[in-house]
Amino acid sequence: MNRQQFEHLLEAYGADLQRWPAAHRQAARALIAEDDTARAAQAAAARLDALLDRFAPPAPSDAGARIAASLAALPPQGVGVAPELESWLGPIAGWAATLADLWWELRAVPRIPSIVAVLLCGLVVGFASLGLTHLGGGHVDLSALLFEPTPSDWLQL
Amino acid sequence: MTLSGYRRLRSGAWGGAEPRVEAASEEGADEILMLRVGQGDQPAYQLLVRRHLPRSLALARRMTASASDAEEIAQEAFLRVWTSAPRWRVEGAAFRTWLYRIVVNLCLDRGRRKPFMPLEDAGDPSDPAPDALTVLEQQETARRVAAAVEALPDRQRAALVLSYYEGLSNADAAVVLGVSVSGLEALLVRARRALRGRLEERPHGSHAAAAKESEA
Repeated sequence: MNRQQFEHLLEAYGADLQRWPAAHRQAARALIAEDDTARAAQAAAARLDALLDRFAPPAPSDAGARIAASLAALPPQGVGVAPELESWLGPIAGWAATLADLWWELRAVPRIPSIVAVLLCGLVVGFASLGLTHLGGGHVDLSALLFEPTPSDWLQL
Repeated sequence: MTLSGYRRLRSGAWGGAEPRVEAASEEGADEILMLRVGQGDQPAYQLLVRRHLPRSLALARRMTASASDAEEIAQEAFLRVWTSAPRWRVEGAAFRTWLYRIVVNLCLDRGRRKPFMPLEDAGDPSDPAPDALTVLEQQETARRVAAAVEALPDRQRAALVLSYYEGLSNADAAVVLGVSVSGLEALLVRARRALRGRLEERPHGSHAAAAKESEA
């Protein structure tokens, strides 16, 4: 490991080598043992780590119990976003939410944006409905058709 | 179904590598519990909630700096765990990685900046302090750090929280964020540079230059 690699990993993961990728720890220890500059850089990173360790937002003591209680009554399964779609539907839903918030703040503006917002919401709902299954039986599971047996297998077709 | 039986079933069905299963308590690995949850097993679901809710809530708290938002996000994340369980595929990411991805995406979707935490909510100092002044200084430091982390761009903050505070491996954190490991490291480097510029004392006149450099 050269010093440039060491400093890059130090900047990414901090001074504690236990946070580093395992493959690089031994080489880093060797460099620290023989290189004063590397030791100084580690000490500087440790000062930042000490500050970061101060960030410990307190969790309300009953938050977990409240959430667990709210999850006692569960909705039907099989409704909502398929796990495979989470990764890219999340940002889309986020953009739609941002646009909806923006429209809400601009309600005095002519109503054309509201039509656009409705169309966007319909698009999001349409994508989300790809995950819908078992709504009273007989409905086709589009996510199963698209992604079974696995996403990687589907891509090989 | 036993863990070994589950592994044989999956290996035989797909002919691929042995699926990733994280060891957990004697009640069963998370992935086995998820298979049961997918069949409507509510006790298995409640066990997953008890096991992962505290860390999910802590993750959301650090991402949003808002207790109420964090609670809503944690609740929504676990509702998605329940509703998506029938389509859970063990060949995908490990359960905890998948759950964290949901939590992080929900946090990023919020996209709202919260005001700095009030001083009294900045957290108790980790070290016992012999005098009130030291306590106040430690609380002020905690508040500054919280504000600096909150001021980070969303994905830099997410990378830092996942990697530094939640202790995810670089591979798992990269999966949660949907980036490569090198992409994750780039986010971490920029995040830590920005934080150093805001938090570490600099000679007079060099704060602006340091902050500008770290945000490049």
